[in-house]
Amino acid sequence: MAKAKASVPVEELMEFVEQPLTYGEARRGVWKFERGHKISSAELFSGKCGSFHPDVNADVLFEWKSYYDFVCEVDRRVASALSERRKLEEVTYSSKPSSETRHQTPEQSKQASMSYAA
Amino acid sequence: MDYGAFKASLQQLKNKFKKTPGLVWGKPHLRPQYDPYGSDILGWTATWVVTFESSLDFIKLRENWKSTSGNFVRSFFSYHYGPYEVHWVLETVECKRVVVRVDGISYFGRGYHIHDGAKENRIFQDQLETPDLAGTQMDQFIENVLKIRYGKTIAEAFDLKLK
Repeated sequence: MAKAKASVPVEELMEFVEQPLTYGEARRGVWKFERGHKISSAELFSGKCGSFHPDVNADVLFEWKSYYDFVCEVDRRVASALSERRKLEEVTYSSKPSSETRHQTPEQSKQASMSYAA
Repeated sequence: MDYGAFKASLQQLKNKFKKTPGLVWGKPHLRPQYDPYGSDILGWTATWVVTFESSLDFIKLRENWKSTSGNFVRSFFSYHYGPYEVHWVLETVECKRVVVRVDGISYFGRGYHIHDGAKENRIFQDQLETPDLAGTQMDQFIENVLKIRYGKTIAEAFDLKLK
C-alpha cells in the first residue's frame, strides 16, 4: 500500500518592490524640504528645535530624514577620500627607501622644489 | 542587521501573522541607497502597508536604516494605523487621519512620541513611564493594533502609563 507523503508547508516567498535612491534625488529632496519648511535639516534633526515647532508630517519627515542621512554619509565619504588623496599628494618623490619617505606640508614641498631649482 | 537580513526579517514577520485572519499584506517597498562612488550599501528605507479585509483601515510601517561604523542601525521609524479612502495610494499618502502612530524620531528634544487618536495629540516619551517608544518594533505594533481592533483602548493596547 502506497503511503501518502506528508505535505511540507512551503512558505510563500515574499516579493519586494525595490527602487534604489540616487544621490541626486536625495539631494534635491533635502533642498526641497528645507526650502518648504524654512528650516535646515541639521537644525531639525539635531533635536534642538526648542520652542520652535515645525509640525512636519511624519511621512514628510520620514522622506526628509532618509534623504538627509544618505546625503550626509556620501558627503562624509567624499570628504574623507579627498583628505586621503591630499595626504598622498603631499608625499614627495624621494630616491631614498620608502621607509624614509616623509609627509610634507605644501609649504615644505614648495621650499624643497625652490632649493632644487636654485 | 544588513540589507539581506532585513529583508529576511520582513518575511519572518509576515510568517508570524499568517494565522491571523483578515490581514492583507502589500509588497514591501524598499529603497536601497548605494554609494555612488563604490559598491557599498549605505542604508535603505522600507515602507510596508497592511490592510484589513473587514474595514477601510490600514497599517503603514516605515523604517530608515543607515550605516554607522560598519553596522546598520534603524535611524527613524514611523508606524501608523488609521482609516483610509479607496483612492489613496497608501504607500505614499500623507497620513493625516490617525488612530495611533508611533514616530521614532526626537525632533523636539522630548524623545519619541505616540499619537493617541489624532494627528494633533502627541504624547512624548518624557511624559511616559511606559512603554519605551524607542524599542517599538513592527510586529509589536501590529499586535497592539489588533488589540485595539478587538476592543482595547490605545492606552491598554500600548500599555501607556503617564508619569
